Amino acid sequence: MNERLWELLAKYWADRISSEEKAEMERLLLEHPDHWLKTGLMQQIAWRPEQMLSAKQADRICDRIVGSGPDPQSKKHTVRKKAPVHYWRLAIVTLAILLISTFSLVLYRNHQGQSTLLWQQVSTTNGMKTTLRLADGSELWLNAGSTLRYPENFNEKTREVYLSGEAYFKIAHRASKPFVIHTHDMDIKVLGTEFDVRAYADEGYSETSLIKGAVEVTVNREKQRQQIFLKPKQKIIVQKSSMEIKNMEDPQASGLNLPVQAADTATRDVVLEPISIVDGDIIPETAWKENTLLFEDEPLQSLARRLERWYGVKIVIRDAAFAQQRFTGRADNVSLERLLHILQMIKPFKYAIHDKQVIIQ
Amino acid sequence: MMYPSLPQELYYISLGDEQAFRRVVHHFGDRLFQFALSMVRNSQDAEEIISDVFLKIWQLREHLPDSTQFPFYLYRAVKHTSLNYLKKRTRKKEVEVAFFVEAVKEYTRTPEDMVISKENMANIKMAINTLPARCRQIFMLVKEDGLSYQEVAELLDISPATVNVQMTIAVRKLWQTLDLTLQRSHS
Repeated sequence: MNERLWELLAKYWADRISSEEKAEMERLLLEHPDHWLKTGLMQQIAWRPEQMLSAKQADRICDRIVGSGPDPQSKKHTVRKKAPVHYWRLAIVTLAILLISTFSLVLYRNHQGQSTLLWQQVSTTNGMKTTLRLADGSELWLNAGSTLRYPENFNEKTREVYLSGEAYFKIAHRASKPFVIHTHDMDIKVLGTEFDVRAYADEGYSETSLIKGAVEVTVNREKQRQQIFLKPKQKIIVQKSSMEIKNMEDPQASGLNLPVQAADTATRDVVLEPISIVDGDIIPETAWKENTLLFEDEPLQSLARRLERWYGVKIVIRDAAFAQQRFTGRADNVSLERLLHILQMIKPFKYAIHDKQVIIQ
Repeated sequence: MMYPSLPQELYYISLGDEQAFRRVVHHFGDRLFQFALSMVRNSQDAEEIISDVFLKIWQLREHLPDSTQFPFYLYRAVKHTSLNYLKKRTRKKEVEVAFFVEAVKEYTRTPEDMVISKENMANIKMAINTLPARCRQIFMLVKEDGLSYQEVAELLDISPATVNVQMTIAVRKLWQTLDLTLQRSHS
């Protein structure tokens, strides 16, 4: 038989075959049709080493390293001592720990009242931002016009919050206790990381921008849920369906608070984009939390909507054509008047402010 | 079985996720144990070696190599730790331990007559387990852990050409077993 064919097949199965070698292998296989059948058979087999290290032993190794001792994350703990083990001491300590933990568990249960979560809600109006710290030590910045619903204390298994609007999250790491943010268009699941979620009901899209770490985003589609794993400096943009946008633009419909999803049959467009850094070190997606207003080639219409939230005003643009004019610029912590002045310098226009209402001519 | 979620597991480990670490130990523990055993030939030593290597992995969790490099990195660490154990060996060498391989059917969409029967599966399993231990080890390192010929050569202190020869031997043997399978399913 053909020694060369076996050599090539071995490389092929090991996924180490070059394109020339693959061509050669296919030529050889063609000469012997039976071999084709056999390559198919071969793919049906998975190989596993017969177990020699039991799961118990593997657990023992893990216990030695990450252990069940105090603060397993500290470096100190990971230095294994080769001192002889005093089993009776170990037994006493184990018993003590067991007693203490049972006792505290009882206290905890009594205190918690069978894990019913007490929900809190914090909302920002337009022109206002806030920061808050959750029970687990996670910090977050809530942008204007946003609402966050969160439990006073998290349960033992997960940490879940609900967001409408925009927030920047700095999630405290908790191994095996994921943090989940639910929004209308997507759910974001993380263990510990930093990222921005923008999910305003009155915008045609929502997005999650990952700064550090990794997050798993589940896009809430009509029929199926799509899972996407984000890499640092990457963002996911989910376009709302045309139906939702229509409802959004019709104040009566949105005022009725109809369940929009029910009528929504169109699939959502999902886009992954890299996050760009401008002006040296500014990330546009999170600049708001440093009070920096960034706009890049943005139509006045959409910029105005952001300014309404930012300054808590109402902006009316009289000239529909001018509303489509695009602006690029940056403003650090400036007043509304100053900002309008900056915009005037980019493209001249006239405006008037009356009672929290800006009218752009 | 390769480990498709390894990149994520490594990320979680870098954050200090103990559960992810445990999963990785369970996945690689057995094959690393066998590898260590093939070098030191004492199961107590082998377990300590694995323990030492994973301890180092945990300590260096924020600086682990990329997931494509990770399996080789583990094996190499086991190799070096084993060599150190051999230098200052205190325990006795046990009888040679040859590990064996299980062949399992993977779910595939093939016509009925092309499915390997249970009986033939047993033949295939026997074929791989009657290969010389070294040959079987090379086959598993390449096929199961996805190591390159070059990497296997470095781990076992042999030439890549030898790895190629051993792989060819393993495949030829399996191929001949499949010959029987085909003849039977045709008849």
